[in-house]
Amino acid sequence: MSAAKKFFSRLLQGNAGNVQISEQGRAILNDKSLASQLIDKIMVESKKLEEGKDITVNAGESSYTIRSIPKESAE
Amino acid sequence: MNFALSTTIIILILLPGAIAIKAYYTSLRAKISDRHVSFNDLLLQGLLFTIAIHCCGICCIHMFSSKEIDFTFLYDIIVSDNKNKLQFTNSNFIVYVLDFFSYTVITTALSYISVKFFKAVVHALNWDLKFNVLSNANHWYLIFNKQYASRILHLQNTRQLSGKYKPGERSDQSDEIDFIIIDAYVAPDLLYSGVLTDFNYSPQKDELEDIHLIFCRRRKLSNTTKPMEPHCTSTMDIIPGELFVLPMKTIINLNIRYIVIDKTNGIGNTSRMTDQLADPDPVTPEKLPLDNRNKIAGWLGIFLAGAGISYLVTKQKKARRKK
Repeated sequence: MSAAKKFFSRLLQGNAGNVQISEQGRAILNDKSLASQLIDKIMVESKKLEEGKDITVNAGESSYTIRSIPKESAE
Repeated sequence: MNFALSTTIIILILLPGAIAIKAYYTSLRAKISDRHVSFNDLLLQGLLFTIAIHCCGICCIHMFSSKEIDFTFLYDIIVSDNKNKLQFTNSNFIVYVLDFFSYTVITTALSYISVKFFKAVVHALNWDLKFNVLSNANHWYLIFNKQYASRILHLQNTRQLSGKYKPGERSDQSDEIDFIIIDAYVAPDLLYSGVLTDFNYSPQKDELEDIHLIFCRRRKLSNTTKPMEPHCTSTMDIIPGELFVLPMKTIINLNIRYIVIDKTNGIGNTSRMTDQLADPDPVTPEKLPLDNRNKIAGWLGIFLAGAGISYLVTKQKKARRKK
């Protein structure tokens, strides 16, 4: 049942699944103030990510770490 | 013989191969489909498949049916220019036409179903990412989709699936990309940045038509305070509105950033929000995603049902002949 439901919902939604946004990413983007905070931080401090450093943003009780993807993992 | 009739028959004969190629490289959603190939080219590209399909079809007819294939009649219709040579009664012609059309419909449908089944298997095993020959989506879809992103970033799941990464390695951190940030350079000196939500692709032109961004920011490169330093792109203007659509014809180039975020609670536990990602079991070739397994099971079911029906029909025919 779930497979058929997924198939038809994908068919009807049309655009869903074209672009990679994870469940967590969706949850972050739904919270406008948090998303703005994180995105601004990424844009301003993107140099840190390039250098392999993580960026940490504190929002309320939680903190979010924007992870740099290690260069050495690339073949 | 009539040129139109012979052309129609040749097209119908070549159709199963063309449909097989079309089924593999296109999707219901144009955004996923590979670049558009014209019908004439499809007929030619599918020539080898057509020959293989017809060989199988003729073998099946010989094995399961008592009917004789009248190749001479088909040859005369397509090639012969002697009107006197081609003689047939009306009832004879109807039988030939019905047989030919039913054969064409069955072979075309079977080639479509079998190619879709093969496509599901290829996707389930990630062969489309491993072998370029089997790749069947346009390059923009691959760039904006997690599978390709995982491949170019060599993240966990793809590595495990390709056998380069042993199950359990790097399982302390999830490597799923949360969203994609795009920096689009628009002439003369504007830089638009935002989170990518959607895009439009034209298979006919093989072009990205536009991109949809949310949380869009604009920067003027001419305002840069330290132009020689990288990542120094002046102050940002927030663009009001929910969605920002940027047509590709205005864009000179794109910078794509795959963002991975870990949430840490007050206690210090690093966690992901989804149950799916909280699953400690790594994905291995033996343990394929449920979606893919369902797909394969569905196509396998259709195949088995088709085989069962054809077996029953043959059995009934044989019983009738005995009577």
